[in-house]
Amino acid sequence: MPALSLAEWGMFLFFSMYLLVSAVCQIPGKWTDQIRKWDYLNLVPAWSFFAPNPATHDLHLLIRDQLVDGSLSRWKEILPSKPHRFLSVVWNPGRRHTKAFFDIIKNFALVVKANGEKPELVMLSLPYLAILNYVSHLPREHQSCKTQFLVMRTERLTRSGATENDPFVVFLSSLHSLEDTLV
Amino acid sequence: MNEWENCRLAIRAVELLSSATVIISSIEMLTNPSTISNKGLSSWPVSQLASRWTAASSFQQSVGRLLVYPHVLGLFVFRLVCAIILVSTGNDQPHLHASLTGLLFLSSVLLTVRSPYGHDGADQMSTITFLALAFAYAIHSTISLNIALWFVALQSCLSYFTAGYAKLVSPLWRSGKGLEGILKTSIYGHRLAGKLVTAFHPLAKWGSWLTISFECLFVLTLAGIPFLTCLLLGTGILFHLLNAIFMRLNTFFWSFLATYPAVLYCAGVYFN
Repeated sequence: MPALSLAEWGMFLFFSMYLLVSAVCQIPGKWTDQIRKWDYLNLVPAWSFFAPNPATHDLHLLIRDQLVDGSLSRWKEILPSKPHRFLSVVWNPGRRHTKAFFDIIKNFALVVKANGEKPELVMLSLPYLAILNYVSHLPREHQSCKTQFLVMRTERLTRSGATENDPFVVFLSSLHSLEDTLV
Repeated sequence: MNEWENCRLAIRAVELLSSATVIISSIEMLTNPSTISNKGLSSWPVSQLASRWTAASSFQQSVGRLLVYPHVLGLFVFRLVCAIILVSTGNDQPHLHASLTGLLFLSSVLLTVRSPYGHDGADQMSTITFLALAFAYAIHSTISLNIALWFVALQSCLSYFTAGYAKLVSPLWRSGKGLEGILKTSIYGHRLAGKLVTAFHPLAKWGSWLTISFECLFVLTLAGIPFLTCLLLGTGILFHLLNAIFMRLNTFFWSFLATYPAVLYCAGVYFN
């Protein structure tokens, strides 16, 4: 075996540790959660793509506004399913938006599950604020003073493989003033 | 060719394919930046609240300035330029390549810190790969290049095995219902493929088991059997191509294929 320089030893030890931590963190558990909690730079990968419970449902974001006369507008879906385009095999500029939406709703569903009885904590959560900021800045056809959003889930498969066909309400927000947008 | 030349060739192949991931992602983001704008889902004024240290004024006054929209678009332009220079210059300039790969790694980390939303496994794999490349070029010896290649190859095997095992223990995946469900969603689905697997369910089951088998067995690429290595890597190329077609995971193709030269080198099949 050739003699290693100090830099090579350092590199060997660093990447060995990195690999070890990466491998350990693929096993779900308290230890893993603790390590990931300290992983501020998101350097520990999560490789269990679409498993063990793949997202077999669609998430829908709907909004409605309170108009200046006090009436409520009709619910409107914000992110309709886009038709598949052949070009997206090589070029898919919309994927960040759909992935961000998916991540936010997934994260939001966890926040709702953990703090369902404390709506004030839900409303201060990052995913809630991210959705609110987004919907508050959407262009509107009418003069609105407040907005409200609704997250729905459709076509979900249960663990047994049966399908829930009815749309499922994940969360209905409060009405928020459009004058108080964050930015 | 001697070992030094073989290592450099393998490293160069990894670098070229990883740079392709950065070039595509950066141009995609620059043509459609609405997600990272202040009005978008990954807006910085909101996502900086994710942790105390990103919200701290010291961070805002320093690194945070780079992350403010539209300044952050400059970061994507910078990444694009770095990747183009990496592709267009040979790796006989180790200091330049060490700096560029290191900067690509750091900018990836910064973008992850900017918002936890909208990133995927392709980003994770290319971030890890650029870190390994930066160290390899900075030390620039046969051993450092070998360590980087083994690290990338083993991370690749770990990623496939983890994904395969997690599917193997899932009743939804084993029954084929998981794949069928995914193909019917709007985010990762495909209308025609969704209809096909619904009409002919065994197709979903076969597809699931083929995926599970391939992912779990990928680690055998390093067993030192050239035929098996080539068969599994060929299957991998087809697998990522199908993912790009049916699930629109276009950058996964490049970032995961970037690890294949490292696997080939470590398996002793090619670059040897």
